[in-house]
Amino acid sequence: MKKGIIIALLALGLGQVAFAQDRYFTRDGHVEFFSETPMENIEATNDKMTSVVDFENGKFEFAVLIKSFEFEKALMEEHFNENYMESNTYPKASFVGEIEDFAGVRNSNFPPGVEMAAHGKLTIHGVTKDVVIPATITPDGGQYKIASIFKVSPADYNIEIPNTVRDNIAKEIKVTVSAVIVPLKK
Amino acid sequence: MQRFFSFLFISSLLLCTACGHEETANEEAAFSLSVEEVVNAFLDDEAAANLKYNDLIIEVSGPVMELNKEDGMITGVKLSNDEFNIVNCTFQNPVESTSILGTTLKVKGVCSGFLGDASSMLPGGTVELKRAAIVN
Repeated sequence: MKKGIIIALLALGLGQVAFAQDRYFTRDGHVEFFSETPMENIEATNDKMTSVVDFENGKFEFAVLIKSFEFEKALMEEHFNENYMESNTYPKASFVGEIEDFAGVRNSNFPPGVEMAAHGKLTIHGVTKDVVIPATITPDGGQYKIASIFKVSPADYNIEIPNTVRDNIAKEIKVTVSAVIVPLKK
Repeated sequence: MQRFFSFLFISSLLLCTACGHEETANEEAAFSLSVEEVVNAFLDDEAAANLKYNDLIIEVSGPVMELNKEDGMITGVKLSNDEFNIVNCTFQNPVESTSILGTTLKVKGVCSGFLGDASSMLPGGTVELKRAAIVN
């Protein structure tokens, strides 16, 4: 009986180790967006994106706080939060999905330049859409660099742009994500 | 006269649009808390904590778990006792690299909220401070 309990506990412990080793994460991922129009270019950055990739099954997620985006101009940051993103009501943006054929790319040790497709749900401004996001993963010692560039249309996420500034904000915003992910030890 | 006031209004608007951010180091903190106190406030009731702390300068003290560096300068710190419940601070102005890892530091910055979700693959949660500055 005692032996059975010890084996069960060991199995549970080994399970935890396996679970932890399969996941790589960051709390310092970089996200930036860029809106380009003839009137003006607008950009903002956020260096506190959290992201996790499960190397066992290719599950991939990232999340940011909208209020953590920083603009050069204080007033622009205020308008972004209060008028467009309504960040008091919708404080976070996130992606939850899975990288297609992850096992195949992982088993080939992530060949350089191979772009993968992450299928999942992107939630912005309280609206969730099914999207496919391109992503690359590059081994770098015991860690990995992840990168992704994709476009987001404010209209798709019910982000209303007032007529007065409609010409100042691009119909499609370029989003760039980059991070170094390290093994999750817990 | 009306033209003068219109000119004044438009000029102020343009000036305001070009304004940068206030220096956090010169601002008073609205609250002073430990890492545990602020993280627990968000874990206990995230909505209430968002209302209480977001957009305000808060001062947080705790052990430095990790440094963020760029070009040899420290661009931010993570304060935490347990690696998973963290206050993640990004400095307004990067500071010279010093031996602060593992020491107890007091940092003030603008609270952006809490990032953490029970359904996430990443355990724990993070209170985020932007435009932060070291108090001592």
